Amino acid sequence: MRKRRVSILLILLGIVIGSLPAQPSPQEAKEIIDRVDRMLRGDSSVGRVEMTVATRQWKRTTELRIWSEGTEKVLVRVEAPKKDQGTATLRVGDNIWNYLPKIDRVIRVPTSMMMASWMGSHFTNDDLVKDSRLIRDYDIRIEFEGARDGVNVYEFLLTPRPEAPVVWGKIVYLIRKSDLMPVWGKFYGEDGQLKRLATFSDYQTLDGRLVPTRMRMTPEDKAGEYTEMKYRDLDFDLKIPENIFSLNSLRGS
Amino acid sequence: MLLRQKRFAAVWRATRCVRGSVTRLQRCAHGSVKERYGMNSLKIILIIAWRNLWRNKRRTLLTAGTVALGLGLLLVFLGIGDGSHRQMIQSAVRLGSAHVAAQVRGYQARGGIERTLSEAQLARTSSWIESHKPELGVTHILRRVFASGLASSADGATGVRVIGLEPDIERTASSFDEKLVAGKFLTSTEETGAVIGEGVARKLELQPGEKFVLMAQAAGSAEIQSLLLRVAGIMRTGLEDFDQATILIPLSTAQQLLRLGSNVHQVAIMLDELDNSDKVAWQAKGALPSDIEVLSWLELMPELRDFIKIDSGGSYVFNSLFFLIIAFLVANTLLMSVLERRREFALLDALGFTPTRRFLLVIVEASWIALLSVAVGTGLGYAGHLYFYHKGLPLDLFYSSDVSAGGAVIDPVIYSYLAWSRIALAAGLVFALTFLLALLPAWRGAKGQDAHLLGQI
Amino acid sequence: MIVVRLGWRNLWRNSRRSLITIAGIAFAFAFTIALIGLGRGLVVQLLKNGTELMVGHVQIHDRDYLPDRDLYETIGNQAGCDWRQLIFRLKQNRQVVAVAPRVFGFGLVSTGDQSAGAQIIGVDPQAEGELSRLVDRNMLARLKPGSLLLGATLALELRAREGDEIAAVTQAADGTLGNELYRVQGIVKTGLAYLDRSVAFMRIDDLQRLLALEPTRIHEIAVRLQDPLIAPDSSREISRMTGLPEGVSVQSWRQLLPQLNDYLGLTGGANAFIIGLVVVFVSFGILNTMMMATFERIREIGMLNAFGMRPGLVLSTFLFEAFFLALLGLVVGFGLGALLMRYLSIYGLDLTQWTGQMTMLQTRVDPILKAVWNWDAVAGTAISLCVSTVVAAYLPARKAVRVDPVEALRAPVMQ
Repeated sequence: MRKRRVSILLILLGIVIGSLPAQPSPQEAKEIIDRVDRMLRGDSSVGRVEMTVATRQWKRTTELRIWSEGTEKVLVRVEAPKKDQGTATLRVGDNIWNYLPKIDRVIRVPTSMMMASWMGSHFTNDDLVKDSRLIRDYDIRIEFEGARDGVNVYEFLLTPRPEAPVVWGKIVYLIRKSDLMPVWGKFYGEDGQLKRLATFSDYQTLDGRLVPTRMRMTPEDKAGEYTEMKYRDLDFDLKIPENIFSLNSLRGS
Repeated sequence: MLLRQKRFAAVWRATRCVRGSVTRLQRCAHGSVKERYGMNSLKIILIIAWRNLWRNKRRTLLTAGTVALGLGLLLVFLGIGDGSHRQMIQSAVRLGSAHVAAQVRGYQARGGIERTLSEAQLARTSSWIESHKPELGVTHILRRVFASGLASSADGATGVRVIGLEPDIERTASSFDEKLVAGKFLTSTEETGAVIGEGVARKLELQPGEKFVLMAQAAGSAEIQSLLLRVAGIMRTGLEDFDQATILIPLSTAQQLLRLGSNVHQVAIMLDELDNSDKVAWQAKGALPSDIEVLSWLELMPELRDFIKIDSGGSYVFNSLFFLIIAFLVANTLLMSVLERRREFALLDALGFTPTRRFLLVIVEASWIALLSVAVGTGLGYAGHLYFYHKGLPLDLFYSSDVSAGGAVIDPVIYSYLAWSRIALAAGLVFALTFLLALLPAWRGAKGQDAHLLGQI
Repeated sequence: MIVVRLGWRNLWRNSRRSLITIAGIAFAFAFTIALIGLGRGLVVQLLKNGTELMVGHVQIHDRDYLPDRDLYETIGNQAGCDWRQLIFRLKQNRQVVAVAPRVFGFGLVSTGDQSAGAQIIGVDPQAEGELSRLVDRNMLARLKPGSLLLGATLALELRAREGDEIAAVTQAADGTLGNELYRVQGIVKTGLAYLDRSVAFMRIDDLQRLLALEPTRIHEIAVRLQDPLIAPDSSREISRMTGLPEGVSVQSWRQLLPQLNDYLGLTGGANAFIIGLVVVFVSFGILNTMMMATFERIREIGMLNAFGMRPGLVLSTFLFEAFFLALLGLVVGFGLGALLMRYLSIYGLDLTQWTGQMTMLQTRVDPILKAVWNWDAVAGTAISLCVSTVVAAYLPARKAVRVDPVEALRAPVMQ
């Protein structure tokens, strides 16, 4: 398993941080994250995403609809292309199920496949499950505050807590000071080498919030490969019916 | 007393006179010895037989030499064969297996994280072993947990087999610490230390000191547990499957990760005598309740058991053929002397040896030669064994890397192991062979009415 | 040349003695041939077991395919190749017994509730049945389109039985999620733990479809030969074939299974050591026999001396006699040995009484040891025996020739 990838949460984190109201920024990094934390817990969102995956052998774009609630529930359904329409992934707690319309079957993903790529992207199944632990697992502080390339930014340094079951040595996050928009996230191994790069761009206002609508994840060990998510629609704080996150709904409609 | 001495002296002279030509004999003979001295004493026959052997020094030496060398080689072959098998077994036993193991019934066949020995079963087993420790020859009692999981690092992920063991005891009981190619073995203080197989280290690009995450499903739930571990050491056992996918962690850590409490999957027993494995297993089976299964290494490692069986079968064939070769060579040597022996016995007949006594002489002679050959042969064989016992047979002349078969690593240097039972068997068979073969030509000679042969020159 | 004729005739003057000696040499040689044959047979047996289960003797891959088994590195790269034609041509070679194409994929197999990762192997049932002994031919024949065979342990894990429906999901070559339903047509017990735990077989075209690979793309061609020992030569021969796809690498089991190679080296070495010892022993035994025979004839030598024959000639006569003895012995021995070998190579020695119940490889491997000719060793033995016979005659004869004829004549018959 060569692919390494980044937590989906961090994309969502990017969105959420970016969606913080542009008030005077708190001094402590922790306050920011605290707020994020609280937001994430109560947050629900529905959105449409265009995911493009480029590997050395092929490049594909699929259109997805994503429902998420808090940090425990996610439902992703493929809407285009026609061939893959109806393929869906449901995550509840630690479990993941895939639905494959062609054979009309729901399949549970076992532990042994947790590191396998999700839907062919550079994300793993594990990424879908892992997000809730970001706050728990890392010590967060602001490493740098100032100007970079003419833009005032915060540089967040996330260091794993001693016993946290995370593989990264550190994560560095660059956030625009003015509107708290994430610029990039860098994932390093313990040896200090950059393993993954997540870049954010195309900042737009969706459902009243400024968000980076384009996020690209690039693995450093595979030149030319990336996975890119482009948000088309995003709605927050909806009341999502409970039965959405069920095996039934996984199947259809 | 005096008469006896005189008898003895006469026989001595008589036997001395058997050497040489017929003319000399005629000069020696003073009438019928039979009438005057009577050849009753078995002791005399024993001595005559012995001296017969040495009158024909060449014949004796060549025959005995062939047999002795043959037996010696046979013993060396047996020693090396047994030695290599034992080494394989011991090496396999000390790499995560055991001489005898107690598990919950059904675990061997089906596995499963939930199939643990309950506290009660564990207590029962442990107490029984403890109380019988000296008589069974138990050297170590180990508790283990087995599971499969996923190990991932910043550079990769791979499925692994996890063995949770007690660092301090396993350090002495098992040979994992000898297989380390980097880092150190587990310690009981470092709860998050892990020793990983070389293949795992490669796939995850890990060095000692670096971290990785282990994911596994806990017992009785769908929850996936994650644990941060640090590489304490990297091992290379030489068994590809093992090195590609095994990691060792402290028992307590494994129990915590898998939510097993203080339960374990296996109680492993190491013995001081490999050969007692079956016996101990059988005893334990009888003593412990039937919901606990007790297995010896033969049942724990059937692949190894079968490999050894085939190898032994092959060796058996080999050695039998070799034995046949010895037989033929010796028979050949002895056949050569048939004519000669007939003459000898003709002479003895003339001297007054009755057929019965001639036969007895033959038997005793055959016994002497067999005894001599076997004694020398055993000596040679044992010497060879001792040499290979101390210095070993360096087979790494023939191959370079680690070699494994039947799930066990083959040591580059093979040390001989020769049990007394083996020696006794081989020596016994060779004795019987030599005895029988030696009988044949002599029998022919002793039986015959070969007085006419005495006329020849 | 008188010496030669004399030597020959001397042989028959005491036919009993000569025949005994010849018999000795003959039997010793014959049995040693059998031993050598069995030793080589063991090595070949191991080799066969190691290779004929799955690997085959020679394999063809794209250069970059091993060791990672990257899905995309098919033979002939992206375009693939006309592998059917290639296989047809390979079969023209007389040494080739079977050729099988294979496709490998990794994915999830699931009964819905239970899922597990599996290595999926796409095979041509007919060809695979001819080539590998891993899976029973009849079992393979059950592979109709849309069916699959599961490894025993894998089936256990999935709680799947024959007739059950399995969904297979993989990462296809075009980036999509390949998924399809298959019916379990059989459960396979290979005896190899790591296979039983994770392998599933299906038809090659089924897997190609699942993986979105064009029909021209396969990962591996495995070849089985008559004689596994010629594999390195065969693989070289094949690699020089015209019309091979680009970027292809042809390897023999020596390169594919270096561990097996080493193990065979080890066994071969141990064999050589043992056989060497046996030959030394046998030579020693013959030496003894000859020495005894020659010592008996000291009077004869004395007589010839007394007749005025030159010592040198006497010696030569004896040497030739010994040589003829050896020759006759070896010829007869070879004949006997060949008979033994014929029996042993066709029927072999049944080791089942020692192995009893075998869990490893079950009926795939009959524990019957069949002998295989090892001409080098046999030749070596023959030479060694011949030499020792002649040397054995030389030593005592030389001593005897020196002795004063009168003394020699005086020597008592019974020595």
